[in-house]
Amino acid sequence: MTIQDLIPKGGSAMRAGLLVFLGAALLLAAAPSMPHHSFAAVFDVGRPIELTGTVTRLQWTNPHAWIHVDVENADGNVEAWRIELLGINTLLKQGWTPGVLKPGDVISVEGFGTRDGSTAANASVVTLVDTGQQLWVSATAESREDY
Amino acid sequence: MDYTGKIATPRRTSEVGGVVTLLLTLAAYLPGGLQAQEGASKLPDLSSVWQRSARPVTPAPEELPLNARGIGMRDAIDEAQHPMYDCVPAAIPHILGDPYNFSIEQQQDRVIIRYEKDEIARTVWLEGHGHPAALSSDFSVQGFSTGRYEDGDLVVETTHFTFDPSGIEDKPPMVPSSTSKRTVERYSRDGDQLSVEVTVEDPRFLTESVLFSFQFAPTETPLEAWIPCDPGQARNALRYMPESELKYGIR
Repeated sequence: MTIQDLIPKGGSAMRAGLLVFLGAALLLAAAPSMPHHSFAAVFDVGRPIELTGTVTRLQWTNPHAWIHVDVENADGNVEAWRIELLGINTLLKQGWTPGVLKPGDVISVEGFGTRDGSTAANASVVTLVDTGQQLWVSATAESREDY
Repeated sequence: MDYTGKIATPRRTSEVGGVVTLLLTLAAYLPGGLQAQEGASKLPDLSSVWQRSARPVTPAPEELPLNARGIGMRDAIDEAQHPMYDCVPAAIPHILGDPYNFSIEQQQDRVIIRYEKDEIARTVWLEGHGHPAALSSDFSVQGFSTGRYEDGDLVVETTHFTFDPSGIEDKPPMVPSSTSKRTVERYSRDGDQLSVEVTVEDPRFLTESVLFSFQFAPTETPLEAWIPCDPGQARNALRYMPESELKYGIR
């Protein structure tokens, strides 16, 4: 799999601008409570990411579900990424089931990286690459405020 | 509440008095009982599942009216030690900001509010029905709630909250609430909109009360069953906090 790169490295200016806008929207909308932990304590709206990788595991858990993804970086090395989603109940309302993602599925993820720079992120958009189906979308200012 | 005790009371009174007491007690169980008869036109129909319909309005963190103790507590609170990372749920008002639905069930002597997240069920004891008084053993995360219908609204007062590291502000820098925290929730329905205004008082940390506002709309979708919070997963996020920002250097 090919990492489509962290935005600062390889994204187009337009896409980077969009993600920065979303980040700004998040900052402006960050007043309300969030579903579990404080978004700002863990993730960095100044670190938008976009990556493509192979699913190795879906952790179907509360208070957050997590997708484990193997992502090939620019050096050709495979990095293990962890992608945080909201809780199961929110996923169910978007049509998810525990079997919606299987090991071997290829997904693309847009979101925001962690503040410590590790290979983890909070997902704004998750897309199944083979079909183009958007499995998860929370990239609007309204939904981002939940974080 | 022990209604069995109430119904048994007539056995210790005169026969006539006993019958009257029994009838009054039974009347309280009928749909739209005595309280409804007294103000039927003012009882709002709040029984539904509700989903958020607008962005909550909460006080700006920098404008919170903290007293010296509140400022000191805010500065001392460490996000990494927050009980939410051990699956402890949020309380009013922040529980209403979670992106999960909740339901209201109006009964004769109480209102049951259920939150999808963490399957929390709050009992709001309606005044005038002989609810039990709050005891020291009633201190809890969700506190002890009583309520009344007032001008077509449901008004819920809650005390007996345990100390909550984010009871006033739940984003960094968090502001805790003390056992003196008292909230007043006002549920006002206008058509398909439910407005909930929550006034939070805490004289130990605040110089004056603060107001939180929420908007909801009814939904036909029932509350989903909640798979219990996984303590290991709840602490996952702590792994990604920068070392430099751990207030006491402990994760």
